[in-house]
Amino acid sequence: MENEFSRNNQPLPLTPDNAKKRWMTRRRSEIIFVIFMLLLPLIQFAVFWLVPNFDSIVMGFRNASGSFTLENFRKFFTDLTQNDELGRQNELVYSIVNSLIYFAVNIFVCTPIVVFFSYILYRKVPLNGVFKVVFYLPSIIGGTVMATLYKKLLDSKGPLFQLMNSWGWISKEVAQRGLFAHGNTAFLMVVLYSIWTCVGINMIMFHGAMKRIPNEIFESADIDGVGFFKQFTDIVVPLIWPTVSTLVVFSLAGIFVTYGPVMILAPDKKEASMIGWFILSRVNQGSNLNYPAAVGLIFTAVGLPFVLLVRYLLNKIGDSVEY
Amino acid sequence: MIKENLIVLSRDTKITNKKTSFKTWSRNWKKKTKSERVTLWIMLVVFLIYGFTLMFPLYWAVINSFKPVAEYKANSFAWPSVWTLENYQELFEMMETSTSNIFEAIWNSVWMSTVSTLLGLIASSLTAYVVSKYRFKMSGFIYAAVILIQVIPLVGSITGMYQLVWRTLEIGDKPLLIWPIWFGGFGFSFLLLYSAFKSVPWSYAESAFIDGAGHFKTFVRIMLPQVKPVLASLFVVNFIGAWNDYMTAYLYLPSHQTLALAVYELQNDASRISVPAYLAVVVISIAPILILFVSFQKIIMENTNAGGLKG
Repeated sequence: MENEFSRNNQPLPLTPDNAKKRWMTRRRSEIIFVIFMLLLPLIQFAVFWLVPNFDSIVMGFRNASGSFTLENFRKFFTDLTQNDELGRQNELVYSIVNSLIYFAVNIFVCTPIVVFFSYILYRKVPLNGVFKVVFYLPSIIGGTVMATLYKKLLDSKGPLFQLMNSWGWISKEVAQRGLFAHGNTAFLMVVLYSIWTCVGINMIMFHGAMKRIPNEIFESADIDGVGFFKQFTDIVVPLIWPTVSTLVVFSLAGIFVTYGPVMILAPDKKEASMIGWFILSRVNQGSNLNYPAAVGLIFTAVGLPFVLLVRYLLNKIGDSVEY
Repeated sequence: MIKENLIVLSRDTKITNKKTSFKTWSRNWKKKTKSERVTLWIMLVVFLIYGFTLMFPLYWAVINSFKPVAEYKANSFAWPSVWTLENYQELFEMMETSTSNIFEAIWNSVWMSTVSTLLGLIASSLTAYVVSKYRFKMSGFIYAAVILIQVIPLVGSITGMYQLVWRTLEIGDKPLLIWPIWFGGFGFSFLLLYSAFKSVPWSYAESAFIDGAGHFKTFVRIMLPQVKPVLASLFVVNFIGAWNDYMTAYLYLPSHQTLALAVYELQNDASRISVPAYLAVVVISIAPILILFVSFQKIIMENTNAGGLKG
């Protein structure tokens, strides 16, 4: 601003030279401002995002003495193909299979349920305002509390477990150890928990997307005699498809890093393990970070093309519609 | 007097609004086809059952946290015959002997949630504003990179982070030095603030420049207030997220137990704590966020709605 006026506060004549000088000054101050604003966040990003991620790649190729090795990757493939010392399937195999099952349940069970629930709320089921709050509550209260209460109610001393046991719903073998401690049921309990609490925040997202659909579309569908379910499958789902596909991609990106439910519900059962917990439990032991780093690297390498492929397929299935 | 009239008037207006909205609802309900009404009634039953399953554990936790242990063991579903604080007392005494007492845990939760939320929002505001409003070579790249980061499944990064905190920087368990971890400006808040700043007309800033304001003053005094509603809702949502986060304290500040970490760590500690006393810590940990949720419910739900992704 200073350069636009001469010393006696008279505007400078707008010659090409002055205009250029003024533009240069403004541009310079803009650049300084941009650097000033971005400097600290970029340093933070470099130190706490780039360095750890780069380091985790390097660690994958190191042994305990710090020298370069492929030992961690060899161990990964040994764990993958061989049973443990007691001849049972290795935890890594369980972790991979369970992570994929968890993802499949998320996509093919949870997502359709949430989209349909959101549609029902959108069509103004009685008490819809109350339901929105109640269904959203688990997201507010947090996974730790919800999961621990679920466990307290259903573990071997829990009142619901004892009730079900007294009705004869639980086999003797499971009843002796409890639903979370028995190899056959521990992961099932994790999956049931994830279905139980999946509505929450995604419902609000889908509901928001449905609210953006112009009302005239439904009015003309009503006039044309399009039924309630047909409107759902032929109008709502295609129109909110971008939201559906984006949330699916996000949940897929988190599939190998999910650890919360296993960590709380069945941390000691290898039959219930998932990749995220497999890595985290080893990190927390703190002694050897190189092997979990190598496992993480492998699943990032596998996961990234998988995420991109799913995103591509989802975009293929439903074209983005402007409305 | 005027104030009292206003209060009555506003109360009456609310009642009238409620009546109107019920009338509208019933008019719309009658317009629905028979099959739609039947479906909605069936779904109402499904929703009631599902809603009950979500609310029941909370109800169970609250009543049992105020019930004598013997009564809990006899019938944990029954309404307490005597309301007692003995479980809370047991919890306080037990935690006195552990790494942090209950008041330290509450304090740790409060300061960690507040500091992490504020730092995250400050950093996100700085980055979102310049990336959305200033044209420079890296702006498009930064925006694309932030979206990409959300999608890349970085599975092993926790090993690198653990190494960085405990071995390279040696800031583990040092609360004052751990603050920079929270100054992240390229997360989900960035995306929301980016679109919020995008929708603010640049002419506001231009007017400020003409009046002699510099870039930073324009940002703080003119542009930031325009996105205040988004900032407020992000603060509430992020604060709740931070309150529930037990992982940061678990991995990087193990001697500074938060309420969320106490809920996690005490769950399997049957030798040290009874179930009703454990439920007391659950109630203490969720009470503040429930109050926050009830007070800012509209803001929270609308913010999540506003964040509704469009692909």
